[in-house]
Amino acid sequence: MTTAPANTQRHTLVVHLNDRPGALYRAIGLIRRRDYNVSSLVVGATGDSGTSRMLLVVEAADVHQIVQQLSRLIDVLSVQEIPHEDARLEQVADAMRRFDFPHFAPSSNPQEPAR
Amino acid sequence: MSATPNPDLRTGAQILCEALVRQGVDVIFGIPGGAIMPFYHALPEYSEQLHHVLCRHEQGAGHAAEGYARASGRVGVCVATSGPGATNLVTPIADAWMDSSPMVAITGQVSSALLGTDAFQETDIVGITVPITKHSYLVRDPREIPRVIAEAFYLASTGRPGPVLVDVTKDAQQASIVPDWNVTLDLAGYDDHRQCEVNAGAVREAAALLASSSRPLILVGNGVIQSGASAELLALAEYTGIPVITTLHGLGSFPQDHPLSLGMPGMHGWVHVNRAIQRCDVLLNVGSRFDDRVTGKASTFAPHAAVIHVDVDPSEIGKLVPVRVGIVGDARAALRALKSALEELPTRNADATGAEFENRSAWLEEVHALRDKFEPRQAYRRRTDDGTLQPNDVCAALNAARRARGNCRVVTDVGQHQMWTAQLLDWHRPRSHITSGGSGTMGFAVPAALGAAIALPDETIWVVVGDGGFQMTNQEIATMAQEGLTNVKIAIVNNGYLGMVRQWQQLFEGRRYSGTPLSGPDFAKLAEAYGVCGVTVDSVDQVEQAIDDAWNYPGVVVLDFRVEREANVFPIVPQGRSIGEMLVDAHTHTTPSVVAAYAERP
Repeated sequence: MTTAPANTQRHTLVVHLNDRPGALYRAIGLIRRRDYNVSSLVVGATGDSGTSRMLLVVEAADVHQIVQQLSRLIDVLSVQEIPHEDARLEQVADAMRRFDFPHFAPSSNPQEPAR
Repeated sequence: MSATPNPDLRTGAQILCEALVRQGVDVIFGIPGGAIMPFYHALPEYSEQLHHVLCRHEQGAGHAAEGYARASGRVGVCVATSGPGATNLVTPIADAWMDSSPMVAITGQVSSALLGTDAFQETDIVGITVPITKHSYLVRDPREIPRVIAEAFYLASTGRPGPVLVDVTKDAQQASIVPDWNVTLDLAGYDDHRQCEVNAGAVREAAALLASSSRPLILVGNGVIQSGASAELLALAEYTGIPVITTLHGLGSFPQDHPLSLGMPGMHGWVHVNRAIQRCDVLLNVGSRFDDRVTGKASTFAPHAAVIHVDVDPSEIGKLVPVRVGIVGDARAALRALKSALEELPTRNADATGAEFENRSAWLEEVHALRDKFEPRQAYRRRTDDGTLQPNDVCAALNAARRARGNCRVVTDVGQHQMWTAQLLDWHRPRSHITSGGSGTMGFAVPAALGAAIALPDETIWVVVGDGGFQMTNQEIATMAQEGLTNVKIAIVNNGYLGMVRQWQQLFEGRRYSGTPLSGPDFAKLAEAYGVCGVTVDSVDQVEQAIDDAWNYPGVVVLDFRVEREANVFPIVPQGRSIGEMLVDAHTHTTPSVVAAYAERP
């Protein structure tokens, strides 16, 4: 078992990216390069055509640099760090809905996510 | 009944060729193989527009494409087959990534039905190159080729340039379709940061900082050369009277004989330049990324400076050095905007005589006093009595010959000779100095010179290379011979060691020369075997004549300079130390006991 370096913290990122082969690989590979651990990852197609949204929790010492370098990827449309208190596990589904994840909406109508 | 074939049908391979022609490509560097054979089958139809240079190793093809790009400013193109052909391109792709060279690499891939089956010569080259490409494509449908090639060239050449990989399956090359050239680039997630105006607020803030500073410095790198901003740099420096320092990749962006030119900073930079950085109060960095070879230990870099960083890549700003003002944008636009903002400042002194801002002349005097005290190049001027050929003799003679004959391009490899050449030649013109910087790829020089020589057939391309790097890729001399090139002249600084590693072993590891003594063939005879001219030079008084003769000779020449074996590059900042702590040496080949260290004053 490996242990995370002492100065890492958990950060929650929401990444809007093209729904294409390789896009996820590029984004996640960038985090691996820094030897940061991805502790949670949810990804799915959005209601918009051809894009997907990814919610990931990463244990990182320098999340700013990760955000900058993710933003630089051609297949990444936007990156947002969401405040840590919003990122508790029980709130993930809510975050998914807020970030337009129709697949995760418990409602029968994916266009009308429950609040 | 038989159907008449549609005359507009084209194979994917033909479409690929035509797409390259439509991008203005005239030269491609490559080697064929099974999965790229359909492309090579189509190539002769386009031989009027596309000249194919058959390299001897795909690494050579990749570095040649880089050399072509760096010399000309256009996108370099290399082609390889799947599997080992593609993996041999990995090193030059990484090199182009680190040095932001515009490159499109085209690889054949096994047929799409075989993807992921460990087919013969199948390698996941898209997966392998993800961390070292700006973007990459796996093309399985010939209909995608027009758009993908248009995007690949746009991405490679705009914003912060870099390598783009296009992996095309064999069946996509073989299938016939009617191509649609009305393509729309699908790049919603890409911003090249060049079309937009630079942030006016940040520019005003930067201008105010510069105007109020008493010890300002301008640090410039590759970005100034890539954006063609030398004239704007000169205008800003002269308007403000601020001295300019140029990184390894910035050499040539600012004329070295200009009174405001200080020289190169960093690990093998001049003492006065590093001292100036440690003393300055405002540091304007344009198009350089604070590489560790420039900053030394980053936390001790420029301790008194408010840093202004201009970069076309927003992820570089604040990456390594804390920044007071970040300006995202093209170097040329930013330099113009900065000068305009300075001109509009109300506090401007009316006396427009160069050093027109307050206290600026005192700073210039201080910097010039440092330069006089530490006297750059002095270590290399002193001679031993025995007349041994020193590496700096080669650089001095090449510099003198270049001064007499006008300009030429100089391509260097990686190691001691690279630093001597950077230190000891005068650099006046952008794109005249081509080297492997960020990646530090030994074996870069000979194939990169091949690419530069093809890009610039009317210019002389000098290669300065060590005997170690030369032995990694000298097979591309055969390519030069096949191409009938006459404008490449190769100077091997041959000391029989992997010299830079040996120098570190001498200075920091008690002369434990592990794995560094290096033998080699008779390079002059090797050159002759390749069908080019080879000459061995082993005394000082032959150097000038040898360079002159090589320059006049109507063909490729290899000069094997047998130099002092244990000459060293000075000054040197030990790895991981502050640039305020340099080791200097009175003689270039003495033992470490006489190496003097001094620390920056607090």
